Amino acid sequence: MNIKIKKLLLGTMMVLVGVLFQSNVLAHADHDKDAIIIKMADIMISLEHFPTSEDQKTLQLVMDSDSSTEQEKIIANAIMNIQHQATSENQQKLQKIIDGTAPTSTVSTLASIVQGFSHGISKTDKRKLQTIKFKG
Amino acid sequence: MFRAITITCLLFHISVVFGHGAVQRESELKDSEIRLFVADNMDGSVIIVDFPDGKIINRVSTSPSIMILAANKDNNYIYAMRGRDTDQDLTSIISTGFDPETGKFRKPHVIRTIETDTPGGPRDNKMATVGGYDAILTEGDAEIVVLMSDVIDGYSELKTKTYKIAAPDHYHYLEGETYLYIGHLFKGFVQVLDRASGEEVGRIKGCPMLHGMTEDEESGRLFFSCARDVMVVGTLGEEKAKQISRIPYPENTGRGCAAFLKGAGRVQWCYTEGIIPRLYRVDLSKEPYQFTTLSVESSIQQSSTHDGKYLMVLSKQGVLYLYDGRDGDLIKTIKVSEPFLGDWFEDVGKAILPDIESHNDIAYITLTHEGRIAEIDLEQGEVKRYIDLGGFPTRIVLLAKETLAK
Repeated sequence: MNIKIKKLLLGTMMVLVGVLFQSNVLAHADHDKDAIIIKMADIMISLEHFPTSEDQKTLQLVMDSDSSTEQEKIIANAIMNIQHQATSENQQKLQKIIDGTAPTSTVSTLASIVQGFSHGISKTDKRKLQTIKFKG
Repeated sequence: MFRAITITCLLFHISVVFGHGAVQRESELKDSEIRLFVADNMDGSVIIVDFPDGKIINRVSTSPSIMILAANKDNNYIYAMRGRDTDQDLTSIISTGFDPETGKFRKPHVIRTIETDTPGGPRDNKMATVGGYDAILTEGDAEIVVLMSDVIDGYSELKTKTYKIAAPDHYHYLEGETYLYIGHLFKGFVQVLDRASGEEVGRIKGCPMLHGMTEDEESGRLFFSCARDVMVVGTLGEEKAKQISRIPYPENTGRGCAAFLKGAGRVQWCYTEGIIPRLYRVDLSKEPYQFTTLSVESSIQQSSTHDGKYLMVLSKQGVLYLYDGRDGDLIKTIKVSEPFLGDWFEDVGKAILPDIESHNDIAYITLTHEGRIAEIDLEQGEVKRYIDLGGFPTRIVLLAKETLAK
């Protein structure tokens, strides 16, 4: 490839990366916030005893998706297998997420709620999930 | 038999007449000192709360995803503008409920809702104006739509005048003496229009990532935030529509001023978008203009009192830091809420951040994450009470009765 074209491409890429990191641009761009986390929070808000078949389809999509992170897949799997509460094996996996992320993070909050789920959602946890859904 | 039917018919008619008889009509006028309009973005309603009693007066239903809540120049109307997370851009015009004859308030209601392509334009919770009329800057189709009606009601034709802007963009706008100044974020210039003719007077270029602006009333100068510095533009006399100077940011943080707050005298504070660890300070009475820095806890929202006496910084930990509005000295801290957990990044979809408004040393903060408002006595340094609203309260517009026209 011509050196000039290479330089031009490199320059363009650098400008694009620079622009991407401008907070003002980010704020005015249309972008999806934690869409997968929001999806799972939405399921948890109305979860009673175990996920519905519709919920299971959504969770399976999360687990199969290349764009899902490992942590999101673990949480999706844990919700999928809830029978009144998460299995002890999944509770341990969720604990690793909680230990490995900032306690204020959205992932940590969701993992904690799934780990502590018992038959239904408490009022406090429901508010936390609604907040995740609200702010993304 | 005939007699029985006649009596039954008479009784029936009497009951109908009774049903349409006179009833006692009770006045809804209410005496209040402060009226807050709060955008609840759980369902897109505007909640009206009156003070000093702190009672919720009513909820006005508007389209979901409120991004902007602003009062017009004369405080007759509140405009609720939608964000961009839907495919229908609407602006609802709400009555404030203020009755100038009695000096009391009625329950507000939506007067009308109009389609506006990506509406914007307000600054500091006040509508943009052109020649004293309310104006909406439509960022999607690059227009200034001026609402030329003195009174807006639900059935009259809404008279408008339209100015064409250079390009679709995110705007920062201010009306000068005879010119209109429209800062363009992505295009990186300030377009100057002649108010009378609508013709373009010129473009002041060289302001990439233009975001945020303020004015210095004494000099008439406008200050537009650019990526690496602030561009100063004159609006009066020989300075009119010309670049006067540039003010570099104090350090190369890669973050500019997203918005300005008026401090004491001619001091202005500015802050960047998102969760930030610092504010910039500039005293516009001293030239050459120069920024200094005030380090703050990771802050989720900032405001200043109208007299500029206090600079208020709400931290992510839910603590309100009260600084001197002139020199930035820390005066006191007030714990107002639980921490704001997780990321709170507000894009153009809808408002999600808490808001701060104040009047006569009382501040009102929407605690979005807790679904309530905190009323804070700034002099005493304490929370007076909380008012539960439910939902996710965000933007506030405050109307004080003493500032409303009789």
